[in-house]
Amino acid sequence: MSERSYLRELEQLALLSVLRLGEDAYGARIREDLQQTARRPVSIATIYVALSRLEQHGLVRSWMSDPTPVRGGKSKKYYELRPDGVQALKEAKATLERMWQGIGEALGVRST
Amino acid sequence: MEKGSVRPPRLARSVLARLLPPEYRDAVLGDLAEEFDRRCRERRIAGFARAWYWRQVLHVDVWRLRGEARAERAQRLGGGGGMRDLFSLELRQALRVFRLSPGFVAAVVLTLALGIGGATAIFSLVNGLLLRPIPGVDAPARLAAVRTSDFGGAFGVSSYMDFLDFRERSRSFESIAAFKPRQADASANGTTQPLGVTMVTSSYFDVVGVPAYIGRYFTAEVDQGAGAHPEAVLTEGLWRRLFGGDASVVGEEIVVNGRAYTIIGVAPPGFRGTEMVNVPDLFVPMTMQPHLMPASGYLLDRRGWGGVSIVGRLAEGVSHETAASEIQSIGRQLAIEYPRTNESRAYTVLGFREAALPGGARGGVLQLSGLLLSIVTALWLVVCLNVANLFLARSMKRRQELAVRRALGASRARIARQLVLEFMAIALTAGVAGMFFARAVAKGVATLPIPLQFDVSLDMRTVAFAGALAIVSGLLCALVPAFAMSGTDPRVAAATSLSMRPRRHRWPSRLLIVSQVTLSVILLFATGLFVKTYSNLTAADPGFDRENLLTAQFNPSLQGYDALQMADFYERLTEEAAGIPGVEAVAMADGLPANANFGRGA
Repeated sequence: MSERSYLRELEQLALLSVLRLGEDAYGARIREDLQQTARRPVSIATIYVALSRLEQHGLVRSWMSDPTPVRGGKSKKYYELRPDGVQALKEAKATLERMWQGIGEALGVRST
Repeated sequence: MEKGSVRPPRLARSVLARLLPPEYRDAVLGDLAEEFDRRCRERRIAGFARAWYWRQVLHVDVWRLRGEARAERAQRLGGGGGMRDLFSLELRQALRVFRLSPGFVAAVVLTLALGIGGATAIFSLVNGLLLRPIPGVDAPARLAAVRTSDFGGAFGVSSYMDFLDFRERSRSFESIAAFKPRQADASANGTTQPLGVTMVTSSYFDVVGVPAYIGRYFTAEVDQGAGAHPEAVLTEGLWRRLFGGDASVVGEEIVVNGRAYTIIGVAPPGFRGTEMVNVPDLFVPMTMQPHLMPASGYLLDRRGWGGVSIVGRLAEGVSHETAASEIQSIGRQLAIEYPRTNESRAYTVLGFREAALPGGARGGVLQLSGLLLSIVTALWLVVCLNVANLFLARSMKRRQELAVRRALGASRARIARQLVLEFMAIALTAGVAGMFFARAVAKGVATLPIPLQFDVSLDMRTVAFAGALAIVSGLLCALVPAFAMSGTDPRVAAATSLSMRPRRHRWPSRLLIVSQVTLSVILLFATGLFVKTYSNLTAADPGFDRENLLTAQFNPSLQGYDALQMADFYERLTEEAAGIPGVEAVAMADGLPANANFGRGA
């Protein structure tokens, strides 16, 4: 990433969701996953804007599927992580772990 | 709820489809349709799902998505896409040059501004002399001048009697007028000065279409009775000069050639007749001709006398060609009716712009304009080559920066485009500065005592000229360095220091220098020739001793002196002048050497 080397929270969640959903990672499913798993209700535009930024920074790549009848004949925009995306997630996790070290127990949570 | 038949609200979907960028249209509409479908199945009440759909549509931040799509496009093209975004990005980069190298930019802007400004100043003069309408005239495109051929060879002044026939018989003109410029002495409020007086027929101000600024213009009665209507209309300039802009000037008198004329009105500011030469200060009725030309007597009833200019306003929808053929047809009738005077006369109708300068003068102005424009064009080219060389030298300094950009994947075309944009930004700034420079020069020229009336203020044509010159300057200055530098090989550039400029990169610089020197030498020779000619002319021996020689001009006929009185006047003048201490000799002449003007020199 040219301007900053860290992930914002939503970007991190979106990357995780793309990773979790695997071959089923497209807009509606990622949004649903964020709502259900991360408990983060986000608008459809917010998701796509975050994914677009990640794509511009080379962390994910996207492609359009063939049109699907159930979606009114519209295509899906699928996403998958690039190696840089995986690396960025690893770094984000390591950063969080470093920050949590020693204070998890004090707050009554188990550190990872 | 009936499955499969419920669809998202059509209006909401169509609004969203129009607003979304193409990159996200299918994905977002599809996602919403999918979730809408799921909600319909879960909630079983279509209304809830529809309300949800509308909420989503209202909450989709399409503008952010459009922005992202643009950014993606720009990035995808990495050197070319989303042309608008890329252009704005490159323009921003180009404008950085102003911040990063202010000294260089200032030097280039100043140099180019002088080149562009010089050329624009000359163009604004040519524009004022040959292209712009005479100031202060209404709808000049509909004005036309009638010219007659048998007075003085080329088409020129006409007969007043012919004019009366044209006025009577022509249908092509809405109104038609005759005028004749003269020089006269005028005095008012104790000041006497030589003035340009134009004798006009009563229809003159209808033809030019300018309303009176103060008072009124001449009525039709002034066209009858030789010397019977000593009335005058002042130009706004003379009104201010002689009467200090006094609004109650109407009814006052101005003495012209010793006779009092009643001032009936003032023409509006900016209007000073219909010709670029013989610019009038006041207008009097044509029938005052015997008074203003006392030596000639009454000439207006002589068909053989060709002394007036004819100007007319074409009727709506009538072209100059139609008017010309009608005038020529009337001319043929006149040749039959008055064979003695009119047999060999031919007539033509000219556009107003064409007629504003007398035929010979127009040719001279065209030649002079061509010469001046060629000189400033050559000067401008030298400036461009000089600046191009500066750009090239600076680009050489930037080789490593450009090499890094090439190494990072910027295409040769993109680097060339970037350099061109940079130069264009500087050239356009120089264009604006040049325009101000040209304006100052043109203003200075306008204050010179040139006996010509023309408008040198900036107009759209001049601005367009300066703009075009700036763009061409930018391209000219940019092309060689852009071409030379865009091909920078990253490996070579990175490996060589500034002092080790590869041999093959030297040719553009050499080419520029050779062109610049060539043009400079041509200009130097041309300037040298001019200077030499001027110095030869001023140093030429006129055949007499010019030292301590003074000249003065007199025209007592304007004051109504007859031949005897004039002879007496000159005799006494010679005697009295010879009596002035220090005067060695006094002589009279009809014309001065190297000056073919009227009057008698002493």
